[in-house]
Amino acid sequence: MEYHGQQIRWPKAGETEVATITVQPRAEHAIVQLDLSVSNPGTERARYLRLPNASIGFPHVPGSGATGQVVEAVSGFQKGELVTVRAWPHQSMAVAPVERLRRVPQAADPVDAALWQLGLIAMHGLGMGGFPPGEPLTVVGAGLVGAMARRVAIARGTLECTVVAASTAKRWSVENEPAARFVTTDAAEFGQERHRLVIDATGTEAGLTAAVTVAADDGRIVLLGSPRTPAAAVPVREIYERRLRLVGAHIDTLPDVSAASGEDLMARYTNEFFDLIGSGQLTAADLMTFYTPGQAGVLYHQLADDRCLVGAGIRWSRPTPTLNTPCASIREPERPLRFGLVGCGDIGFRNADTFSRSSRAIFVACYDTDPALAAALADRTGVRTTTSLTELLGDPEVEAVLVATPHDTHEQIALATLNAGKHLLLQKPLAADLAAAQRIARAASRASATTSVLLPGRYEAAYRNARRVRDAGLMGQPSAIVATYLVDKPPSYYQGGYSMRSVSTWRMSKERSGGGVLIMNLLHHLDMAQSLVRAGADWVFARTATSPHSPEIEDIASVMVGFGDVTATFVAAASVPGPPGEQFRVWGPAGHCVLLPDWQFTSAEDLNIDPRLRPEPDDPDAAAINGFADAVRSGRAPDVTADEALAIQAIIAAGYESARTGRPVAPRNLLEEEGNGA
Amino acid sequence: MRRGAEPITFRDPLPADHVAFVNGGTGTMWGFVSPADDDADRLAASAFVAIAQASAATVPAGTPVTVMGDGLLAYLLRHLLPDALATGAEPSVIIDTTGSPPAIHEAVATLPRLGHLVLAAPPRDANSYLATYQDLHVRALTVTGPKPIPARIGADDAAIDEALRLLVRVAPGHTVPEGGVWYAIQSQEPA
Repeated sequence: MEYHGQQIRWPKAGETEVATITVQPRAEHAIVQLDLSVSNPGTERARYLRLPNASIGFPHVPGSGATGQVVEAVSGFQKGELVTVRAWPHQSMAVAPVERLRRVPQAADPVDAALWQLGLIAMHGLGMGGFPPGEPLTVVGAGLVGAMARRVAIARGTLECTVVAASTAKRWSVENEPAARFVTTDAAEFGQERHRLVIDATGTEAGLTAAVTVAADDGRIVLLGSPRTPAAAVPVREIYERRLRLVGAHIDTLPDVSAASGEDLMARYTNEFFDLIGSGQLTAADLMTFYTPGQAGVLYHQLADDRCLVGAGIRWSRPTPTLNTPCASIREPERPLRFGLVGCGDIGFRNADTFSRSSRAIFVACYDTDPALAAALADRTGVRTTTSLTELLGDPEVEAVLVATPHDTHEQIALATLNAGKHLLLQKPLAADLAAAQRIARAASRASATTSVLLPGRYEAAYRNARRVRDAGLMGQPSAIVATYLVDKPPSYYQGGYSMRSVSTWRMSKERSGGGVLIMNLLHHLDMAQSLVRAGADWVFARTATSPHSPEIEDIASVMVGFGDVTATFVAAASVPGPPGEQFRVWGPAGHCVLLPDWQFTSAEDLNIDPRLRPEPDDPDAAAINGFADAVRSGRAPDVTADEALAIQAIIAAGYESARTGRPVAPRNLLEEEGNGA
Repeated sequence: MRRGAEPITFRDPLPADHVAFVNGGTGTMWGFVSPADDDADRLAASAFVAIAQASAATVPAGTPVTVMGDGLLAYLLRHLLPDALATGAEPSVIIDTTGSPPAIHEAVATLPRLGHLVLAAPPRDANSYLATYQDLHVRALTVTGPKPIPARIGADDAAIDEALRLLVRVAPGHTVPEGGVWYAIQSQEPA
């Protein structure tokens, strides 16, 4: 009997392939069909890049652990049992000695179980540092080994852990750890807090220097990360003067320490590791990014280049939630999307705050034609600035670009972004005019990158509830929408937005902004309406009144839109003192939803269904960013497509045209005209 | 510091009415400066004894040790650790009393797995370029500075007396003779 499978192999340096393997049963070995396997990122990266101290022969099979099901019963393990194999390479089928196997605890995440070897490395490091449970510590390096070390420490009662890193690339990985505080080595607070135990998980000279800096006098520093230079400067005089203790902690020395102590530390750490992951006190599954076998080359390219990547592995089969127990969660979180921001003025400044609240995005760089604005934002957020758009778009760390600039500049920036292969997220509207919007939409349709427009209204809890009501048929087919968007913009708004960070008159220019309250504000309601009725606009009839602040833009817009059988009526005005501000309601024969100002649903029948608010994101801005990042990572269409944004732009253009001519205008005709003229 | 044919030099001028106590032997010279009062010699000797005791305290019982250097500190350590030095086994602890970069390199390269280098002397250079992977990490070596034990006259009178017996006094402007384990170098008389 023999079994066939696949393995990830490096035929030579820098090359990855998926090879077919055949395995045969052996005595005291288990045949395991593996569902997933994990990498030891630091070691595999070093070997892949052929860094010093990481020499290997080729072909080489990388990998550091795997989880799967026993195929045939073997001593101590039943057929079908979920087991993990310690320090095992990336293979779909294993013949593993039983001493390398461990049953995955009932409630443990199989991904965590596969990290057994990484857990041992972390525990050995803490042991070499003389870590007593609960001791505060600093971990230098935010990679997977460092993450495991701090999470084991936290699981053992540490309430205070400082994570030191050279950049913010991996800051996302500590966001769910209340005990952890993230500090970069260039931050003002770096070195202000010193702990008596420091784990250096970087393997770099700079990491060791940082570790010495943050160690308290008489402190212990553990060299846990494997150094990747032939020699490094060790600050021996500081070790002497401050009575520090520097200790190496390669995992291969665990048996030596066991022999010296008379205790089987491998068994002790293993038992503790599985207890911790089984009880939910320890997990690193949220730090892992998984790839299919066919994407193994991508995995190693990412390991080599992507500073945001923390942990990585291969999924040999798709997750099956019933594989272990109902409470075993197989999570497949994605790495945050790394954003560059173009435009650091009024709304860009707010976007930067939004990034800090996003769990799926990281703000890494910014650019503004006014360097002072970019510098101020960089000071506030710690990101780097670039001196040109070209530089920002050429930054390999920037994956996506959020454009928060005057509307007339959107086209040039959007096209450059897409040409650079970056994902594009535009502040609304798509552009200042319909022609530019069409050119952007066409470029988006041709691009491999994702394009979307930031419309946080789609993530408001009330809007999502209305969609649920609609989808459940509780409203019936929508009949009508009535909405008002009444705001009171101060005169200063037209010269500097709400913040006055950037003084400019672009908002007062029809050519630059596209218009007044209709394109600036009512756009949000138009989008909500269009997406709720799921129909394009057949006609638009509008009246506008000129703004007291600029003769080129409107202060009031009354707009009627025919979405198929649905008539939607909107009134927007920018100089209306006092509440209620925004109102939005939609109804059908079976029910009536009030989305704004407060959610309310009235059913025509007394259905015993309660469609009140369910738990929803309470931060629509961050949810919108998260939604875009999810679309990029998963490859699905974004929640707001470029075509949808173009349709809204056409409604707005039709509104302006109707106000000018006094007649209803079909947006479709404008799109055709613009298309013909293009 | 330099010695031999030329007068010893200091990084900073030796203040008037002060004396420099210098660990001698064949390695790098190092030491400390104190006011030239009546107890200065004895206090200096007790300080060396305290450093030796602190360094010796890092050695677990029964652990084979090597002491690097042949100045006063090494001399005291050899008296404190006769059993550890006499085992003939491969040392798992090396105590460096020289502070010289080659000695630190040699110690790190020599130690076995889980070995321990005690920096008993202030290293001459701020940094030593060491094989952090092959030596420190893979072999899980430990490098420490000794925990201080306060120098007290009377803490170990026999050792202090022995140290004082070995003290070589160097007059102002004179060269340091070869072979001494430690020296007391008087500052120049004020002009």
